[in-house]
Amino acid sequence: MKYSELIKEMIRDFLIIFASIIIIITILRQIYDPGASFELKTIFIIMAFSFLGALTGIILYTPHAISEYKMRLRVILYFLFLEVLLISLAVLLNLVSGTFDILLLALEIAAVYVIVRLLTYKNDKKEAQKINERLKTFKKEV
Amino acid sequence: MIFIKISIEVIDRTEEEEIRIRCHQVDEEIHEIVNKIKTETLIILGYHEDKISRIKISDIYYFEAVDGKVFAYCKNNVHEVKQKLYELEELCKEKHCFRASKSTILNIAKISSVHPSISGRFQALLENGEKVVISRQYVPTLKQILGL
Repeated sequence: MKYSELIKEMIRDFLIIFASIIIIITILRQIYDPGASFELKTIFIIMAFSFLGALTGIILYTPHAISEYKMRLRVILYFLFLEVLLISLAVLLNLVSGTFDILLLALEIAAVYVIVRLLTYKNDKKEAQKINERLKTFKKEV
Repeated sequence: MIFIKISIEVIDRTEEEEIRIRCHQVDEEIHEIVNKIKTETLIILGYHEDKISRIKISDIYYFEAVDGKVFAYCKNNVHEVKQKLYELEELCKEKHCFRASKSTILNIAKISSVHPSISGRFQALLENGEKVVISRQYVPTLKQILGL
């Protein structure tokens, strides 16, 4: 992937993250707290964190192929960066206060991350199985 | 049962080699034979220690770009090739090869099996025991070639 493509991808990610957060917050506010005000500062904070979130893509980007071990290290680094980013956002928006709240949030983020990874892996295993079955037929034909 | 007559004519070295198919109708079977012949006969030049070899595409397991050079990996040896990766991608498109990552082109006919890895990528185990990474973004291409 060229650097120009990486930048395009990051801008797209930034817009998707920012739009998703705003849409979700708007709907939740409408349901649970329609009278609450929405400060301009909050929008800027969300915008800044969406940008930082999109920047995390750089951690997984490699201009050349890298080994499985190095890729795993990058995945761990990506996860740690994501934890720090989300906890900082929650603290800035006054969604959590105190060590216990922060630790609980960190655990929740970790749990969601692990679940998503496991589900992706399970889905990939199914995909690989389909590919392997088709590969057998393909080899007979060739 | 219908037997097809096969004729082989030995020609002079000054003449160009050719395969001619004489048939009543150009059907799917003929296309398959043509594709097979094309795959078997596509040859590229490989350079290894001052030696130039003619390598059949069907004998190549994968191509890899390393530090601006492109290498063709066969069962037991490696040759440098002068083509760029994108040129090889175009050349081998119909020869069961596909782009597996930014720096590799893989011969599907040499893949034993495909496995997912916990890092989110896929790994292809080749017939010679080597493992090659398949990026997530190229898995749909592989599936498409396999008709999935």
